[in-house]
Amino acid sequence: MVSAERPHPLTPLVQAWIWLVGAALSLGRQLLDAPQDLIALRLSELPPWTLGFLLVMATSLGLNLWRWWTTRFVVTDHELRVEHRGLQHESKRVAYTRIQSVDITQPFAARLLGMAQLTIDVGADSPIRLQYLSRSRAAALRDALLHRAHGRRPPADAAETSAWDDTGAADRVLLRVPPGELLLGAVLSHELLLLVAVTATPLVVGLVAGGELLLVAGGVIPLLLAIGGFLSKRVIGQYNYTLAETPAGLRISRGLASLSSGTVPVHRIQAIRIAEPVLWRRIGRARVDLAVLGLGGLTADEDQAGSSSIMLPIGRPADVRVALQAVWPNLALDAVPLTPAPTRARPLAPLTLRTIAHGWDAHVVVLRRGWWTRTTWIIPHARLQSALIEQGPLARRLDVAQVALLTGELVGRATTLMEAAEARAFVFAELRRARTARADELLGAP
Amino acid sequence: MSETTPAAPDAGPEPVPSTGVPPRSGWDPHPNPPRDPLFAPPGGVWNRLSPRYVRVRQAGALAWTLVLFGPAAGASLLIFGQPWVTAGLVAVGVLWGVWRVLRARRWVESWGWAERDQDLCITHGLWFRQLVVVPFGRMQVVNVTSGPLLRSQGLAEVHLVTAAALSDAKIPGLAQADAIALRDRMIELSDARGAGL
Repeated sequence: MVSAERPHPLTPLVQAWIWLVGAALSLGRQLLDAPQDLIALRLSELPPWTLGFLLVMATSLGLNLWRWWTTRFVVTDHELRVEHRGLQHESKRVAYTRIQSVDITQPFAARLLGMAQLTIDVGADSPIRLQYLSRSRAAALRDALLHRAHGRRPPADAAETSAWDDTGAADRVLLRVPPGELLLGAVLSHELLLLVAVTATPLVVGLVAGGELLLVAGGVIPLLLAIGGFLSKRVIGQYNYTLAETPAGLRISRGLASLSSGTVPVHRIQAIRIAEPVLWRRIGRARVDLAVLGLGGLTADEDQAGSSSIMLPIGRPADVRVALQAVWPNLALDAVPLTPAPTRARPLAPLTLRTIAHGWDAHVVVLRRGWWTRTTWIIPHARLQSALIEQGPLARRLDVAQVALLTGELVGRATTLMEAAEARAFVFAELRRARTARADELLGAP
Repeated sequence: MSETTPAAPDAGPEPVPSTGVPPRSGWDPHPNPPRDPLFAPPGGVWNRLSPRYVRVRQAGALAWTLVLFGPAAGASLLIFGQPWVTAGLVAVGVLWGVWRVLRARRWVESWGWAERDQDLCITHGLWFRQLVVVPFGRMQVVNVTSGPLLRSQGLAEVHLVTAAALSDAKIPGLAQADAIALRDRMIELSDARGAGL
């Protein structure tokens, strides 16, 4: 029998750290203001906001301590069980075969103390979070869970991990994104363009309207601050982006202040999306996203801590190929023959018609669309969830239809335009391909 | 299909709608099978919704019209103080409500669902038409729900939940017994044809 464990005893401190810092700062300032009162410090003489901080800190510490005390988890041969026995009793069981991905997050405070949060996504409503474990325990548990997810017994030797990145001895680093590339990507991103447009508009209007030069120059400062904030946030969040191949799956780790590291079993990847914004196309860069089932632990936001859908934040075509190879070694994306959308669909997509195309090979179906951001979806036949045909009044008049293929939601709906008759044939043929591919997979064919 | 697509081996013959249903005389907005081959049933005919669902839709349309235009008319009277503004709004509201109520029958008739060997097809829509195909093997959960309005007519709604929320589908307004039978059959088939994620 395996014994139950508690999370790390320092957990309440990490959870309440922001209030601890607040209270310490506030008290410290008090002492600096009146050092002679250092000894004769009495609670009643403290200003109300310092008292407030202390109160909130004590409450937060107490609640988190209670939560820590009532939480236990057990790892058995068949399942992971997390038990809360506080006011409300709760017992969560995770069957190993249902695990979609396991992430280790080290928020700033936890990282300083050598602790990490483990997020286990089972594709159901909300992922299971274990807050906080010591870094080595988190890594060992992660490896054990992922081995179980693959139906193997976990190895006896414990994995190691560090505060800097998250690569073990058995891992093979495939890609590492240098900060310069991240900065380049951020500078040429649509978000920055939008930010500049929004903040610069009042400035330009002010200049044209003949405002005072000093006043207008003052407006530049918030603009610069906003741009600087955006760039540093992006670079700090994506810092040291590493894609590694591990025995447990693909590992993506990133972050400067807080370190996140997500591991996805390769067979759990539902689809891949390659996005090429118009400015990035000029310099030959692209971004790769992947979709797994279960949104809970994932954020599509590039800057937040926690794992995200991003597989490669920015990369050259060669890097994109490496990333794709890591998931589907047999995929030859350029060899998939693409059929463009019919020219009579032009009224439906006046600017982007040339970019719309679809095609398939024995393993995947590929859809491409978009000018502002050219998006390429790659969906393995075996991972298709459902397909649909849509036709509005205009499309009906043009005798074309929109086809959408659906998989994991992180990459959204993959859509394309086709002639009406072709759309119907394509959808039913694609479902047949999906069925065959799934059957082959179940029989153990590659 | 053009020459450039690698279609040959697996594009196969498309399920051709061919039925023994005799052509009906007179104008029929929703022939079964429909005239538009894009939304024709994949073999045979579409199963249609219960005609009683029309009344549920009409009640819903009336309620929404009241909720949308009632307060708007009241507010316009307070703000503008011009009776003709309010009268105009009420007129638009009445027209909208009448249109929705008249439209409800056609909308309900536009729905159709059909089981194929391995998947379920659902179609609906008048101006914007849609045809969804969900493989039985992809259905994680099949729900039967029915609110008070649906229950009063002895109807229920079937929800098909797949692993990706985007691809969920529903069939509204089936007779309760039909809905439950459909759900049980779906679950059975999804077990039999099921394939992991």
